[in-house]
Amino acid sequence: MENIQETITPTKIGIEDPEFAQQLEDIHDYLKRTPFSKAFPNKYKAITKTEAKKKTYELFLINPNMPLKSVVSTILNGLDNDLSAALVLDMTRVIVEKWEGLSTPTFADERVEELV
Amino acid sequence: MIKDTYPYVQVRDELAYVFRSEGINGVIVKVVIFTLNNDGKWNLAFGDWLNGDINDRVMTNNHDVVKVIGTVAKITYDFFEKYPNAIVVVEPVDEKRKKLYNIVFQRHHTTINGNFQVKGLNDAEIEIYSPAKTYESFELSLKFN
Repeated sequence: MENIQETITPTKIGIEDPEFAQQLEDIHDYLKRTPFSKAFPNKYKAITKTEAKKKTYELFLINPNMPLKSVVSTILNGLDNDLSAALVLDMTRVIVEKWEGLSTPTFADERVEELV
Repeated sequence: MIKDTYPYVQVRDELAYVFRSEGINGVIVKVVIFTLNNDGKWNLAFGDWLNGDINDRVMTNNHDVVKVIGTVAKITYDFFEKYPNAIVVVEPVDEKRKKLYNIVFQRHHTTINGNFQVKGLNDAEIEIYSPAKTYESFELSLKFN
């Protein structure tokens, strides 16, 4: 923690500029009323994509023979309930591609070798 | 030591930070926010405040990228001061940012590694960060000596 203390210098600014003060107030209100998925839609998509891939990978390690339809429904069920229609479609594609990638003989062989 | 940074202020229960980028395109207000993911890790997001909305994909091209990245890094240090046990995920939203973040982590690997444990993710598989590799996203947590 000492290193971090050294790294931080006083950087907090006063809010003398009335325009900036107003912007800060607007931002505060915006963040208060806007869900993260709407405020940062691209970031939200990236996070959701990674989460879907991660869950697919974990599921594959547990049950590599699960039928694809069950894989898709299981992973989608674990994601946010508020996913938009576009994101549901995107995530379905992500899950299918990830699962099929994991199911290729090369990856499966590597996993078997690790387990042995 | 992070030298060239913009001053910043905190809003919204100290989980959001705001600073002003000043460059060839004028003054651009930047918003940095930390949100808790479903898996208990914190996500670092930032974007430009434009016309009453946040744009998290715009490339401002204000010719101050080093200073902006330095400010975000300093804000991240500040966040870890408050949440020392946090794991912060840095997830680029596009290929340009992915390239940029990888360059930043590669160039500053020694400094970052002094304070943080860094992990890299590719295709949702995680490993200890290696500057020789390119990653899709990164995870940072404080090193406790």
